[in-house]
Amino acid sequence: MIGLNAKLWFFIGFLGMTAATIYPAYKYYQTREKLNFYLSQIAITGIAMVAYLFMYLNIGIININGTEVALTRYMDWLLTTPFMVATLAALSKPGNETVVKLIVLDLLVMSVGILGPFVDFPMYWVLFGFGCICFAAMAYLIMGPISSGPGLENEAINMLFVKLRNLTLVLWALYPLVVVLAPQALGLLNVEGQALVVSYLDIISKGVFVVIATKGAEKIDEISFSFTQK
Amino acid sequence: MNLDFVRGRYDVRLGLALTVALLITTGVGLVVNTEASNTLQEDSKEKLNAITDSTSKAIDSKIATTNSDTSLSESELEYILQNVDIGEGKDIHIYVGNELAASTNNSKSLEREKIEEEFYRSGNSVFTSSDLDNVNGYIVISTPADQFSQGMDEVSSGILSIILVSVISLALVGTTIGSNTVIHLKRLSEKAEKMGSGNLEVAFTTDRSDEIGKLYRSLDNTRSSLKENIEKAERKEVEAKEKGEQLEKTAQKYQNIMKECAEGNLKKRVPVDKESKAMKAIGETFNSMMDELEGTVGQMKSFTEEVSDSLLEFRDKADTVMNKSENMDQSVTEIEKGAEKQYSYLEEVSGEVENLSTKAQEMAASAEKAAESSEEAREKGQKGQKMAENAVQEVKDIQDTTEETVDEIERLSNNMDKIDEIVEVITEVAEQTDMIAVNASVEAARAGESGGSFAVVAEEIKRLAEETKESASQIEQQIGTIRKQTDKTVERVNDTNSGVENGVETIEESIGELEEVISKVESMDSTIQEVGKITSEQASSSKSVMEKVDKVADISQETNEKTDEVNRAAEEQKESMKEVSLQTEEMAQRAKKLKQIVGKFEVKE
Repeated sequence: MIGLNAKLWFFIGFLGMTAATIYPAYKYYQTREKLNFYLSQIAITGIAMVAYLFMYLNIGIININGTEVALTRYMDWLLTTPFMVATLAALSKPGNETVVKLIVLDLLVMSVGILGPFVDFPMYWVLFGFGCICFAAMAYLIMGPISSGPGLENEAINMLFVKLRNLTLVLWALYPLVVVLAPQALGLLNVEGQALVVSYLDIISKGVFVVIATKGAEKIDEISFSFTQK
Repeated sequence: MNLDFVRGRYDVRLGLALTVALLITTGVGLVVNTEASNTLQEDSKEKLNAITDSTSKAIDSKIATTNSDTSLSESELEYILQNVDIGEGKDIHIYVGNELAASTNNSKSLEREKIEEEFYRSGNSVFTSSDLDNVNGYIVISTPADQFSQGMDEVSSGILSIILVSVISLALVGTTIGSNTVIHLKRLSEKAEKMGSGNLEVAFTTDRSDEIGKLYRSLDNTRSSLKENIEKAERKEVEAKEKGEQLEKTAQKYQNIMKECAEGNLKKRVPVDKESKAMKAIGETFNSMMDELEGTVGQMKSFTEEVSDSLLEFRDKADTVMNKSENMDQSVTEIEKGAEKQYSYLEEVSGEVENLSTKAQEMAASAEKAAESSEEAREKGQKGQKMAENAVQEVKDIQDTTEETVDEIERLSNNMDKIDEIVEVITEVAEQTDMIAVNASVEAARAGESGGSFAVVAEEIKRLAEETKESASQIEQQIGTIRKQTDKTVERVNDTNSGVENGVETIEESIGELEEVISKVESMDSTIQEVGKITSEQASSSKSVMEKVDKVADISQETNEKTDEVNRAAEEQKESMKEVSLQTEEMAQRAKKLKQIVGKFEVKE
C-alpha cells in the first residue's frame, strides 16, 4: 500500500500534468492550426495526467517481493516518451529512418525499465546497464543526425529545438540515477522519496517540455508534426 | 566514436558540466546518507539485542516457576507465545533441541545454524537468537527489515530527495535560462560569421532587452553602418575612376606642353584644369614656374650680354689699375719717409708736454694751499661777526638799564615834590602854632599869676614850633640839594645813553663791514677752489695729452712698419693684376659662348 506522502506527490503531479495539458489544448483552440503538433503535446501530458490520477487512486500498483511497484508509471513512460522524441524529430526532420531508430531505442529503454522490478538482483543490474547503453545511443542520435536535420535551418526552430533537446537529455539522464537509488535497487530512497523526485522530474521533463514546445509552435509558422522536409 | 559534436559547443558542455555537478552532489549525498544509516543501524541493533535478551530471560523465569522439567509442554508454549511482549511486527520462534516447537509465524522461522551473523538479514527480515537457560533450546526473533532500519529510511531518503530535487531544478535552470543564453549567443556568432564573410543582409532581430538584446542591436547597427559605408565607398570608387580618367587626359595635355617647354619654347603655358584641385595646383605652379624661368632666362640673356661687355671694360680697367699700382708704390715710399719725420717731431712734442704737465701739477698744489688760507680767513671773519653781534646785544642791555635808571630818578623827583609839599604844610602849621603860642603868652601875661604856668607852656609850644619850622626849612634845603643832584644824574645818564647809542651804531657799522669782508672772502674762496680744480684738471689733461702723444708716436712707428708691408703688398697686387688681366680675357671668351647658348631660348622681348 502506498503511503499518504506518496499519494500527495502523485496528486501534485496530476495537477501539474493537467495544467500542462490544458495549455496546448487552449492554444489549439485559439489558433485552430497545427493540430497534429498540438495533439502530440496534449498526448504527452494527457497520458501522464491519467497515469498520475491512477497512481493517486492506487490503481495499477502491484506488490512484487514485498515492494510496491507503480506499473502505471512505466506504462506512462512507455507511451509518452516516444511522443517527446518524435517532437524533437518533427522540429529537425532528419528523415523517417532516423526517427524509427530513435523511437525503437526509446521503447527499448522504457521496456527494460518495466522489466526491472520483476527480476532478481544480478539480472536487474544487467538490464539497467543495457538500458543505459540504449539511452546513450539515443543521446548520440539526438546530438548527431537529429541536431543537424534540415528543419533546423530555420533559425527560430533551431533555437526551440536546442532548448527542448537540452532539457530532454539532461533531465532524462537523471532518471537512471533515481532508479539506482530506488527501493527496488540500493534502497537509499524510500517509496515517498521516489514518488517526490520522480513526480518533480516528470512535471519538469514533460510539463515544461510541452509548455516550451507549445509556445514555440504558437510563434513559428513553419512547425508541423512530420519527420521529412517538404 | 565521433566526439566532434562536443568540440567548441558550449551548450553541450553546459549539459555535461551539469551532469558532472549532479554526480558530485549525489556522491556527497550518498556519503552523508551512509553515515546516517550506520548510526541508525547501530541504534536498531542495540534495541533488538535488548528485546531478544529480555524475552529469553522472561521465558526462562516462566519455566523455572512452573516446571522443573527441561522440556516445554504445549500449554506452556501457547502461553509464552501469547504473553511475551516482543514488540509490534516482530515474530518469535521457539526451538527445543533443534526442532521448531512453536512460532508466531512459521513462514518467517529460521534455524540457528542458518543465522550466520548476529543480525542476519534474509529477505525482508532481520534475525537474532538467544539461548534458553532452563531448557535445551533457543529462541529466534525475526524483525521486518524496514522496521530494523526505520528512521534511517525516512531521514536519508528525505535528504536524498531534497538533493535530487535541487539537482533537477539546477538542470531545469541550466537547460532553459542557461541554454537560452548559449543558444542566442550561438545564433549571434553564426550571424556575425555570415556578416564577416560578406553577407550584409543578415537580420539581427530579437525581443530580448538584456545584454544579449543589446548585443543584437549593436551588431545590427554595425551591419547597417557597414552596409552604408560600403555603398558610400562604391560610389566614391566610381567617382574616383571618372576623376582618374579626367586626370589622365589633363596629365597628357600637360606632358605635351611641358615637352615643348623642355625643347626651349619658354613662351608656352598649360591650360589650368579646374576640375581637379591637385591638377589645378600643378598647372598653376608649372605656369608660374615657367613665368619665372622665362623671366630668369630673359634676364640671364641680357645679363650675359652685360657681363660680356663688362668683362671687356674690366680688362681695360685692370690694366689701368696695374699702372696705378706702380704709381702707388712710389707714393708709399714717400709716405714712409713722411712717417719717419712725423715720429721724430712727435718725440719732441712729448717732451714739451711733459714739462707743461709738471708745471700744471705745481700750480694745482699752490691753488690748494690758497684755498685752505681763504677758508681759514672766512672762518675767522665769521667768528668776529658773531662776537660783534654779542657786543651789540650787551650794549643794548646797558642802554635798557640806563633808561630804567632815568625813570627811577624821575619817580624819585616826583616823590621829592610831594615831600616838599608836606614840608610846606608843616612849616605853615608851625607858623600858625607860633602865632597861637604868642597869643597864648599874651593872654597868660594878662592873667597874671594864674596864667604863669600857662605862659610857660605857651613858651614851650612856641619853641617847639620854631624848632619844627627850622627843621622843615632844613628839609627843604636838603630836598633842594637832592633835586639838584638828581637832575645832574639824569643829565649824566642821558649823556651815557646817547654815548651808548653812538657805540651801538659804531658796532653795527663794523658788523656790516665784517659781513662784507666775509662775503668777499667766500667769493674769493670759491674762485680759488675753482682755480684749483681747473688747475688739477689741466694737470690730468696734460698727462693724458702726454700719453696720447706717446701712443701717436707708437702708431707712427707702427705706420712706418706697415708702410713697408703695404709696399710689399702693392708689389704683389701688381703681379695679381697681371694675372687678373689674363683671366678676364678668358672669361670674356666664355661669356661670349654663354651668350650663344642662351640665345637658343625663346622668350618674350
